[in-house]
Amino acid sequence: MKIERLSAKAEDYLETILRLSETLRGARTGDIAEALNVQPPTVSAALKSLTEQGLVDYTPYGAVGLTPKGRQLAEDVAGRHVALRRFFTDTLGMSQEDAEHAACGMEHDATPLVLDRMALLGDFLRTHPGMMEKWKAMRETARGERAPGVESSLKELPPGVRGVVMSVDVADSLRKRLVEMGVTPGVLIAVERVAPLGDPIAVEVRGYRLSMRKAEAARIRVKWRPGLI
Amino acid sequence: MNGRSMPSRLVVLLAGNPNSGKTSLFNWMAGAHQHVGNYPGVTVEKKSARLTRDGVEIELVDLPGVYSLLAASPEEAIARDEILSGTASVVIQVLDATNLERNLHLTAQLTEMGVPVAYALNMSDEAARNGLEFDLERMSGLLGGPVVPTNGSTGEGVGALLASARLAAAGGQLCPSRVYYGADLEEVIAAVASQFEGDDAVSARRRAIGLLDGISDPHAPSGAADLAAREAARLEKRGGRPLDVQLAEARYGFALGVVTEVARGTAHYVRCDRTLRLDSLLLHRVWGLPLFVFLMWIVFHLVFTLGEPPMQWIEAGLGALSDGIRAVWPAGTAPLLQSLIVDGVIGGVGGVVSFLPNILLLFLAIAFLEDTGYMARVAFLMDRLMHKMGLHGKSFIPMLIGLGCTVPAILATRMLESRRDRFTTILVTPFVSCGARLTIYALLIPSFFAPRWRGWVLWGLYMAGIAAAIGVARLLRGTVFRGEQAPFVMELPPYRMPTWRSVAIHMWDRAWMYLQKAGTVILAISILLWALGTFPRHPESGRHELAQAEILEYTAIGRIGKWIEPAIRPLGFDWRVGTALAGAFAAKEVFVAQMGIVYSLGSASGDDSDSLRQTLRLHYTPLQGLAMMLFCLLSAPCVATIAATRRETNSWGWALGMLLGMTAIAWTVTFLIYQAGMRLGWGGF
Repeated sequence: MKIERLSAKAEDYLETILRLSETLRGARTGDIAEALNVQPPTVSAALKSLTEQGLVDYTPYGAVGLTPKGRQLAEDVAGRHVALRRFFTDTLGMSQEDAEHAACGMEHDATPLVLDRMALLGDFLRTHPGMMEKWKAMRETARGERAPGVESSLKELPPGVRGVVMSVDVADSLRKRLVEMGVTPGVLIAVERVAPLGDPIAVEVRGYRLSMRKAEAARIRVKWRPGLI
Repeated sequence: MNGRSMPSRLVVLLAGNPNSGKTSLFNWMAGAHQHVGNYPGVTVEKKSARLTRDGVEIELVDLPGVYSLLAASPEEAIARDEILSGTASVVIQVLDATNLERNLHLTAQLTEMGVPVAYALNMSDEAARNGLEFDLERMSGLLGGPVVPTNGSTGEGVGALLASARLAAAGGQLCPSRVYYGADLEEVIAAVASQFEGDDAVSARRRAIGLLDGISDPHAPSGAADLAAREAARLEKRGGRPLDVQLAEARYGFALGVVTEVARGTAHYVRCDRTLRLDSLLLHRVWGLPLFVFLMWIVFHLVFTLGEPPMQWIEAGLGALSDGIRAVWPAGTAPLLQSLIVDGVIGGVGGVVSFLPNILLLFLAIAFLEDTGYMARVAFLMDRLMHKMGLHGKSFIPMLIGLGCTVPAILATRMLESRRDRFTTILVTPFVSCGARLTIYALLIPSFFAPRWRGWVLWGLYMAGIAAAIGVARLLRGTVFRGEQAPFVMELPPYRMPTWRSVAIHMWDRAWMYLQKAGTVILAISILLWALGTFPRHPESGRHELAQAEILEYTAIGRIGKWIEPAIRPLGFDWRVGTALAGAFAAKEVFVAQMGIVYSLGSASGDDSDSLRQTLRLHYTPLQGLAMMLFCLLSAPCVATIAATRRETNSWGWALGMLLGMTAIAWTVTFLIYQAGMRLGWGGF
């Protein structure tokens, strides 16, 4: 079965109209404009287009209603939104706010297969003893949500956060040694641990472990990347 | 150029990264035929073996383990020179299948060398357990040489590997360069290569890349060097990063490309493996160091406690042999020859052989720690502390071993890669109080100090030695070995259980080198010292009533003692102490025996030591006693140490420099302490 997909904008309108039409006041142009953060004339134009597609039942200055086809599509989008948000909060452990934001962005692109597999993964983690706890522990050591995109030296990259090497700004002989060991621009790198006395550090790069002093790590620039290596 | 169809003699070089399992494959192929030596001029081990397969003579050479062929270290220079020497029929690169990407970086350079290459995909069983499988046929096509899966612990695949290597050599098929450096770089490489007129295409390309990579090539045409410098500057500006980085990126691009093409299975996450779990314990923020101290205690215990009984058996055996010779020797005939055999040769051989149990156990422990991967962690744990002293994390193990005996400690400095770190460690390790010096302390401390002070004096002496080591290390770092500190960029290899076979071979190789090289020097100097302690002979030495002290006084050593008396008087020593110190050069514990002889008490062992202590108390003040111990601690190390230093630095200059330097330091420190003590009125009995 081929699923008819609308543009992301159209889906947003349908979803908003569905939500507002369930209130006592009904969905009105002004409210829609406010919810979507656009100007009322824009809303009018969009509603006109949706009416032409047979999705919206619209009369100027009255409440906006959905046609049966429009309602089905709106409910579909809303369902995807809820499924995504639930996956983000319950399985990925994101905050309500982050989850809401991410769900709004991804609801238009998530295919039924993706949603199905996400739900299955959540069920798998919940129904197999100890899995959820392990995943939670791994998530917490990774601390991936912290400031992606930040640039710092490798020395300042917190253990468990991975980074992309931007430059290796050290003296000739040492630079040769570092690049031949695989620390080249563009490679993913992560600090695994710091020695008990606080100096050399152990990093993961290209699937193996390498140790270097902090003085050397201070000269390697990295851009933080969320997630594990 | 390698188009020989039926070569009657093949030279097969074994190349690969450190920890790729290269040496265990070599051991499987070489069996008992191997020979260990050094590359000329440097203390880099050269392992080779001669084999015969189907009537073809094969010389197999185990190259030093390297990450690159850029000739930045002595090991890399040797590997590169051997491959390029023109004698190599084929190179076998050992690839660690669990760490393929970094291993293939070396392959990228190897394919530029213009020799046929065969590949051993080692530890593919371990990779399979991690969920990785390889398409060997595809890999062979991409790398331009046969790929044979091998297993270093069982020897599986070794026969097939050698057969493939022979085929590759016989085919004479050169492994073409497989790395594409990108349009801009390729254009520049071709331009620079065209300047090498006398070279063939492969060699010209290699040397052009070398010049662009910043490797000095003294024989390159000046046109090539100039062009390379100009183009390098242009490309660096354009790429926004140094050219060597751009070249390395391209090589790693090749490596990653091959891995992506040939590896199948779930991605290998380092973070979920056994090594991570072990490191979480062994490198733990709190438990890491206590565990390390415990493991080192085990090593130390193993080496010096377990080694003690066999050492005593050997000494007892040699003693029995000497007694036997004396007993059967026809009385009165050639007493000098008897003395030479018994005291000189057997005594000298004893000096070499009695170390052997300790050395074997030490090398066993080191081989085990190295082969499991823990040695790299030791350096990781101790680097901060040792770095402050001007040393390297790996310097810790030799200094620890130095608490037992300096000779194996100096041999253990081979673990250090940088020459500066290695030489500094060799030169300061003798300051760590060894077991032989403990026998001196054990005699002198109870002679002069009240029981409640004894522990403190002993502790103070050990600390003084460590302080001297730190001071001298910093001094050397600031002067002779000045310059940038060796970087601490070191692989932390995965933990692996070594096979006993490989540990045993590893241990035996090093022990044999010790016996061969250090042994001969120790023996020679022991005989020399015997001669000094025997000649010139007292005219009436045949008479029994003549005291041993008088005979000794008459000999060269006795005369040396008297001769140096003016020099050592400011330290509070008389000629008797001087004689004992001269004798202590053979071995520190001889000091005790010599003191016994000069005070006519015979050998100072067992029951005699109490009477010797009383005699010493009558003749010397506690301050003089302290000065003696301090001097023994800091002064010229024993003959064996000098021999080991000569062996490991490959230079008499360093060995003699150590001798003179340490004696000078000992004299100065003892002088200051003794004179200060006298001024402060501590010189009384």
